[in-house]
Amino acid sequence: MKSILGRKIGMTQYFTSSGLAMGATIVSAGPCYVIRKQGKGLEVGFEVVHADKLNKPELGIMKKYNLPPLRIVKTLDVNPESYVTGDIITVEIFNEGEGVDITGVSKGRGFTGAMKRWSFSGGNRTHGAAQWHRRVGAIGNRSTPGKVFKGKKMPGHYGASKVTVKNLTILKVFSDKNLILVKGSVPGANGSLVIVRSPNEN
Amino acid sequence: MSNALELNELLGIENKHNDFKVGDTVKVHWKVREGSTGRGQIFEGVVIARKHGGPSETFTVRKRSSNIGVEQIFPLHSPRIEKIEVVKRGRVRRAKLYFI
Repeated sequence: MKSILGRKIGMTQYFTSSGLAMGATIVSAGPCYVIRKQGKGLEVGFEVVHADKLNKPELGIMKKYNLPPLRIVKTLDVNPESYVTGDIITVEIFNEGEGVDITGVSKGRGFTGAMKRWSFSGGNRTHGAAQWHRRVGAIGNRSTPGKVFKGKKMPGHYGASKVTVKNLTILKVFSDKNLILVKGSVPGANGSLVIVRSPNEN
Repeated sequence: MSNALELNELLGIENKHNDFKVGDTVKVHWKVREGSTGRGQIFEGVVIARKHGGPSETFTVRKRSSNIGVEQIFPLHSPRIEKIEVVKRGRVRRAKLYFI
């Protein structure tokens, strides 16, 4: 299991040598500093910042393990046995052509209607439709069952949730710039935190 | 990194076909795919637009083929474009010549 923290930079276009164009996302990943073993995972830090940005308990941990001040501390789902404190994980753990799963927090859309949130069809735009364009429609029957079933798809808060996209192909690894280029899109806004990891074996 | 020039540099795109402008008459030598193989083809016409920037830059060429206007949009950095030959320089006062 390989894993690294990164930030989504943005999307661009990539040409294969045969001339096929595809959408691709640039992810700036690592370097991540190994802090310590945490349960079955590995606690790592990402992004060196000025010491003023951290509070005293956070800074204490960095001092204890003799690390630079790190903005983000997360536990990655990797086998901690092969790492020691102070190790640096870089994008070089991944190879070109490899598949990866990328987890991020999707863009928040606020309180949305059922059409956007659940792809309901809504009503007619025209043909005499009056005030019935983007509504939910019926949400149940009459006295049987006499209730609305739990989990009924309705308007509500949408987005800003943890999303994993599986098996994205790595097109290029720029180890000198700590960047990777993956085929397709990655959840979240540009600049948001993502976790890149190799797919689960099972 | 959103800077187009930086992106080009990162993706290793050389700006090899940059010697033409909107209004120029060009010959685009490009490869057409036919099954597993392909052949070269030439599309000659007036450049009426250059759009976007960076790796996804495109340009539109318009020609008249047996009196019917034909427009073709090419991705500028596609490896399928072998050569862009400028036949005639044009002088235009617009960036987009959609009115032709």
